[in-house]
Amino acid sequence: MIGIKRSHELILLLFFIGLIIIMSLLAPSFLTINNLLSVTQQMSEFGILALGVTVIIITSGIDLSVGSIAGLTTIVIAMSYGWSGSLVAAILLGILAGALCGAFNGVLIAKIGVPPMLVTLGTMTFFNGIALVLSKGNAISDFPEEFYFAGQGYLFGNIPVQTVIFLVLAILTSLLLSKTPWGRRVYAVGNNSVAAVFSGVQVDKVLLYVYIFAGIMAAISGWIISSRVSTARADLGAVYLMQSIAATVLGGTNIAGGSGTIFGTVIGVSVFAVLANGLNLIGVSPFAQNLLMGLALIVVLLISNMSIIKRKITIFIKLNFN
Amino acid sequence: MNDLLKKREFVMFMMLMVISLCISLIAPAFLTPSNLLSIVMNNIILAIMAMGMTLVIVTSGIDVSVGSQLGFAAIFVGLVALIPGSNIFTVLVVGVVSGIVLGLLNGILIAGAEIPAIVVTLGTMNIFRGSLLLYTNGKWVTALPAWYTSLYNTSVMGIPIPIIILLLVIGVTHFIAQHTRLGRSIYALGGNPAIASRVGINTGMVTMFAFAYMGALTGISSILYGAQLATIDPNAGTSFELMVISAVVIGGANVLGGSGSLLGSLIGVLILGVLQNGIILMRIEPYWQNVVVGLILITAVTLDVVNNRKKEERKKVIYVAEEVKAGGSI
Repeated sequence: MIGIKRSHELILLLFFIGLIIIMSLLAPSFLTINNLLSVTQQMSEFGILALGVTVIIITSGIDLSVGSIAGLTTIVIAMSYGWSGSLVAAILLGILAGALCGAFNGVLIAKIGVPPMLVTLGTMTFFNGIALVLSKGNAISDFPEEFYFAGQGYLFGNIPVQTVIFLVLAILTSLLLSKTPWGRRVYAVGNNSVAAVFSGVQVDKVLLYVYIFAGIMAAISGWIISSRVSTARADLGAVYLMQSIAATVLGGTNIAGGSGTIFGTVIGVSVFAVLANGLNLIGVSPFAQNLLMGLALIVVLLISNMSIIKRKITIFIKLNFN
Repeated sequence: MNDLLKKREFVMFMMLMVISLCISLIAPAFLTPSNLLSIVMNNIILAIMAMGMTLVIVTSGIDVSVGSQLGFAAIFVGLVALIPGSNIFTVLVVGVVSGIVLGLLNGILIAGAEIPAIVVTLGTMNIFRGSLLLYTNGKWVTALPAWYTSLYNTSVMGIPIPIIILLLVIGVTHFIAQHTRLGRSIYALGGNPAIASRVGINTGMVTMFAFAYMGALTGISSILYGAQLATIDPNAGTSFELMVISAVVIGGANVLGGSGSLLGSLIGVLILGVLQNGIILMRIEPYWQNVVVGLILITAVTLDVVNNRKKEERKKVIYVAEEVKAGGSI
């Protein structure tokens, strides 16, 4: 099992390096510090979303509502800034809203036992509905100048703020998963939840916190998105939902649960970001990006499932031609 | 009576009735024949695709690429309809064949490479949409010929053609699901794949069939889509997959596989259609629609789990009671 996982990460890493080499050959401006920094800027928003999604998928769950939570957060931040006039309070309220949304998912999944895909299919629509009702379907854009720091500011001259936030969160999540008892429980639940119960793991508690964690990540992502585009709108973040799940799976997290690393997810996110940025520099139609992102996902998984495919082909040939 | 109350379809049907009653009390225009007909006519595509999605979900699969498939097939149908000399027959063949090809591609990847359905269709969703946008360069297909666009509003023996098509699709899908070996294999595969393959079911073939059939129905829907709107946007069907899946889930199909009924999915489609129509007629701000739909989805799936658990507990109690009666120890 470990062998398979390692080979997946190796294939992905080779794929990623190959991609970088091709891009830098085709577009000379690709391999410059400034461009690479802007790649990290572009990947931070859905990278943060993907951190939460990774932890959830490790528990063999899925969260379709993270995009809607991000959108709702942008509205909560904008409206609570309008009432309170305090930016810090507004952002904290936004993150609290994300945590509450995650807790709502978590209670239904962990305490009542509804399958995660069904719960989050419902809450995806529900949270988006709340955001639409609150904002009456409008975009809100009366933010103060300081709000734009998280999405448009730079630290130490030219390092984008959201890159730093993403890196810090990625390292924290990685440590949380690999160095804490909670992290081990997350893997245990995903591997075999029945066995986890019998080893004394409080599965419902672990799951509840996992969904709250993803809610908080989605909220942070929403905060950065609205800071970058200087607006709050209910549908911000929706486009990143499928991308963040795809990047997580591309990064080697097994959709059936039990395995996956934050390192893999970061590489998965990077592959998508490099593809988007590089193709843009080469001047390929943005329509081709969708196509290539989908292809990248399928191709990497095909390569890492090669042994299964070979076995099936041999059986097929034996049955039909012998 | 007690059994009827426990049936998921019946509960959802009562919910549909209650919703309809509430709407008709506030908006008298709701309960008119012409409005009811328009609800049906506006949700034909959703209903056709929900039939295919029910089978896919029963096999414990899921297809999030159907929105992209719909757009893909619709553009091809539209381009073929523009060629002089094409007729209903050519359009039908192109729509259905392109749908089957896309669906079969999903099926082969899922069954052949053992990649989970949600991952495969997440990838193909982007591949289908991306290649479509690349091919059309984002341009719409317009100026569709009259023989094609009139398809949606023509009636045969007083019944609009789309309704006839829907009835045919329901009939064929019902026949496959209830009266063929294949249908039983679909339910068996979703119930327990290991046992299904041990009793000699070719699980790979069954999976491929379910996805190809979903594709075929998407192809049929794509023909109606172009005829209904008279212009085809290459972004057609974006996030439509979520509507289809929601309808099927409201109708009681379990995403873990093994259960789901066509009748339930049709009721799910009607609930979504009635809500959409009712919210407009009641002059409620349209933003409330997602709140209501989301709440109905959450309530439906939660009730399902709670009811199932009660049933299982009752089974356990009966089992223990019989053990005791038989003199066994617990």
